[in-house]
Amino acid sequence: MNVESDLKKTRYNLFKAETKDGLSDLLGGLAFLCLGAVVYSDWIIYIFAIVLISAQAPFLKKKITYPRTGYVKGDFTDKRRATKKFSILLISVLIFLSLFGVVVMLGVAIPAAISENAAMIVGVLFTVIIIAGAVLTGIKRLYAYGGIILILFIYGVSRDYNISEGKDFLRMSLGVYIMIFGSMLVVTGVVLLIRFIIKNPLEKES
Amino acid sequence: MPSNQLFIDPLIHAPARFKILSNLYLVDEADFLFLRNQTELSKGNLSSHLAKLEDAEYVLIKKEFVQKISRTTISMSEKGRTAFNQYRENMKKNLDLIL
Repeated sequence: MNVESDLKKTRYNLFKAETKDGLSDLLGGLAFLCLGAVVYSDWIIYIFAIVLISAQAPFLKKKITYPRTGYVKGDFTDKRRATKKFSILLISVLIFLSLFGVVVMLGVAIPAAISENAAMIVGVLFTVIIIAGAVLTGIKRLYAYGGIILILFIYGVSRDYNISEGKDFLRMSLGVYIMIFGSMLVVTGVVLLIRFIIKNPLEKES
Repeated sequence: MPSNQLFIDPLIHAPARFKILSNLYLVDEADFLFLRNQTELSKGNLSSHLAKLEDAEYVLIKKEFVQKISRTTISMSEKGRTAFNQYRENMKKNLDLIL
């Protein structure tokens, strides 16, 4: 019996048990949809929706996950901490890009090399971040998310556009990209949640 | 056991109890259902192993009602944590002696 490798396996299983219900994908997706709406429509009110959605996580865990797979408490894995760091990184990049978008909208001159390849730069940046997240956290579906984001931006690049309009700087509004990504997360989250509920029927402890 | 080999706690060394303790070692607390899912032990098996670990004061078992549903919360005691750390160290040293 190799204690260290067994502990490593247990640590991974604990983390997997936490993410298999799809709630993080579903709520994260809804939050991204709202963030996309903020960027697209400039309606700051959607920020409150993000806060409201995030606040539902503990409630839904209590109502859906714990009665099916049991209750656990503790900041127990390196991967869980990695997920938190990854989320912070992703949100920081989104905020940075949104601010960058504001700068562009204000008409500040941007070097031609950046403005001509903006969509591809942003697309590759997002893909690298998501893939880094997949490596850090060990969540395999993040590789698929990274791939889909890259395809999305390649599609964006291939569209006809007029660069003089600030809104089309990324060939589509950044908000649209974020909303498409959010929708993708929501769909994955719903599928995972349904699968989780079917696989783990309610059971009362005796 | 050869004299140079270190003591391996039989209470931890049993595969089922090792599974239970390694899960509890990594979390603050978990309920019976969670432990059963993670260890893939049957209800009876898990109960009997937990009883042995509780007798040895390696785990703390708390029974409570959450919204009219009974919940058994299990956590590792300080004594259990120390014993598990000692077990890890001794296993490593013993393996080093063999290899």
